[in-house]
Amino acid sequence: MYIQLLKTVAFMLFIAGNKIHAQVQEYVFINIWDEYSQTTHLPKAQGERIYVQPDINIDQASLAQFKRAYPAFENLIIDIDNQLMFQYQIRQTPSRVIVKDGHVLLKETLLSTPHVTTNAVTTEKMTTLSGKPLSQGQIQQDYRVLFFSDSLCPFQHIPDCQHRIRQNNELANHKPERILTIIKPFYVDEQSAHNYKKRFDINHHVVFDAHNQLFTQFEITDLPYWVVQDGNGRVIYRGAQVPQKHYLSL
Amino acid sequence: MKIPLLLLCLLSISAHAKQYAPLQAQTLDTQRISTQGKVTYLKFWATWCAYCVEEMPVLQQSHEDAQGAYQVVSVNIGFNQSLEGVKHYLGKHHYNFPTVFDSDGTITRQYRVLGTPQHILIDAQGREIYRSGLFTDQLAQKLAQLRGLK
Repeated sequence: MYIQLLKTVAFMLFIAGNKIHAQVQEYVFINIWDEYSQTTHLPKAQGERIYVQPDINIDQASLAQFKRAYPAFENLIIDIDNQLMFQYQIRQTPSRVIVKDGHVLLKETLLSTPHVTTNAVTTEKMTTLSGKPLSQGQIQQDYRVLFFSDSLCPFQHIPDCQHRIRQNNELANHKPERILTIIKPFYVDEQSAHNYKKRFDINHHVVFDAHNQLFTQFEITDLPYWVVQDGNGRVIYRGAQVPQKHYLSL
Repeated sequence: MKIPLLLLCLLSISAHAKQYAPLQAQTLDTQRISTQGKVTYLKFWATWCAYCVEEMPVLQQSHEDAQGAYQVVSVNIGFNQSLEGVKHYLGKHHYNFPTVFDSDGTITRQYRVLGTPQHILIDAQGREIYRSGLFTDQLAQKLAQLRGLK
């Protein structure tokens, strides 16, 4: 609560500071998750340009990662509690608002161009990050514990993820060859799964579920999440609580 | 000594439970909905949110299973969304749960929602019983309890 209060005060001071030092401010509202897949056409700046990320699905780590990928947005700030969004009634990104002495001179939606992507039919076989081929049959035979996780961890929609990943690592210390971690593909690519493996020091097989097929097959809506199957591939446990060690010996 | 301590704990819990003013709104098919006096399962979402879209069949199922034990209200957060686009999306997938389009973000702000998806369960007095980012087992269990199943 105090951190949130401090963030709000710091944000207000930042905005007030800009108002004092520059008569004309230009707020450019972007959504970083869209910016990864499309480029905003930025018109000539008409004042001190401040990039603003709405306070929706964002945290400081994601913001920092975006700035590293796109240094042009180095002064991008999070609109804490969407104060500017409400003040200027912004409901669409990308948009810009030009303000002089507290008065709005211009408010407009900006254009953006999607990045070119190919829609080639993907026929590649699923493999672990270390290159081991995986078929549905192998997943049933080779692994007892399937750990469904998200490489965006830590993030607000998966609040307990770091703890559960630690628990899974402890479980994997017993029989790492029996555990498969499966990474959610939403908003990330395979590199993110590699980073996850390194960041959390994973000692067992990890697969990037590129087409979300394992998540769909096992009907996973909670994350991170365990599914335990017996030697015949029959699911004998599923839940957000770490399974017991004896399952690994089945 | 134990009873005052227990009372203090209960008071402390109730003092910290978030309580919201009743939500009165109109759904996309022009029905009036209200959370006043009703246990309500609110789901905040957007069509561009992959996690939200993936969970939609579960929301539909929760709505169909409710049988009057709670009401489901889906709130499209209206950010980077259009009313027509949302209607088209729901119609295409034959979702028929009550949906409110939060055109100016007021409802999203009222419930302090800063991410999608967001699931909030409130009791008949408007107190928050449960909140999560995803459709968790815990949420499924609470809905089942409301239906008298567990």
